[in-house]
Amino acid sequence: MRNLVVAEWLLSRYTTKVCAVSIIGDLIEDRHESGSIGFWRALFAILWCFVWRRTLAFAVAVVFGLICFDFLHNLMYSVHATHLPSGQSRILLDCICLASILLSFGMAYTAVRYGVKDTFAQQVIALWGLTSILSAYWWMPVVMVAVTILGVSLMLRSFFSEPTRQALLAVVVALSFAVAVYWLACFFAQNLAGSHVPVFNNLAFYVFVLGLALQPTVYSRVHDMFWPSMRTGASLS
Amino acid sequence: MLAPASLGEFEQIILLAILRLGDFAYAVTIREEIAHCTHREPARGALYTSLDRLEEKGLVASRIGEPTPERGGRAKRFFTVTKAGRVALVNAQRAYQKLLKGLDILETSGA
Repeated sequence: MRNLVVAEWLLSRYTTKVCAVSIIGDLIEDRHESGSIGFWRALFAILWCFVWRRTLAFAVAVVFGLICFDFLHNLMYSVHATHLPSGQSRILLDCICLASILLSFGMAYTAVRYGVKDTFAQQVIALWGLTSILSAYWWMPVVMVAVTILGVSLMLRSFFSEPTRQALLAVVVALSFAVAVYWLACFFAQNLAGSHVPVFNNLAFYVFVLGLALQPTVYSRVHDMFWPSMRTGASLS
Repeated sequence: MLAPASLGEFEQIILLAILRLGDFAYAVTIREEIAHCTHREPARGALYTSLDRLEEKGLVASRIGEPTPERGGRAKRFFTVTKAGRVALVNAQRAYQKLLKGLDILETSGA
């Protein structure tokens, strides 16, 4: 009996409680034929089917996000370091670069987890593309104008349709949470590192990387928050 | 949220099994019906995720039945095909029929 409670608890991590209970009921019905080993084998096979896509999405997002982080960070503060703008323009460029880095985690995660037909994934991909181009080619006026026109037309298009408007709002919320998580990671890493640069302090470095690795989770939570019906068996709860 | 529903082969099989079972369509019987008709036993995980995907697309609806003692007091989750599900299934089958028209593979095939 305790085993069944454990099995139910395991399943309810990835689906609703009601669905988990009914799946366990199905497996109990089949257990008369397959026995205890068959029950657990079937349970883990079901769990794998529920989990593999989000696990793959998480792994792809972390790897892709870290690559983007490294690429943009090097581009901004090594390659373009000598001719970066100053004052307000510099702050704006830093913000766009940070948005691009944080959106890269979300872009990879949502594209793999929900597919490119998902409106939330489409908005994240579009914004990631625009901010990335702007971060890499900010010094070319034609690119700046083109990205601004594309960005404004994307906003206008989003406002006229309910699903895309909701998706845009979800991306703004996700990005706000992503910035908060990133800021907290920086804050703790700085505190742990003391007067040192966080990269040269192991613990501080890991805290910072953990902050980046949590980024895909932010997008997953926001998606569940805005589209609860997309959760497995949510219509039953 | 998603583009208009298109059906894969497995999704069509599931919808047909649910229609055949009527009011008694839940995961165990659906799996048995598919195995009986196609001689292929679908993986449980694939069946549950496909049923959830069909429900997300609005092609099937589910309801919870009464708890039964042979299932340790756990209720069954019954599925029914929605109107949109029937339309999608009919469209998919019509496409197959159109492609088959003029071919005599069903008559000449030994299977």
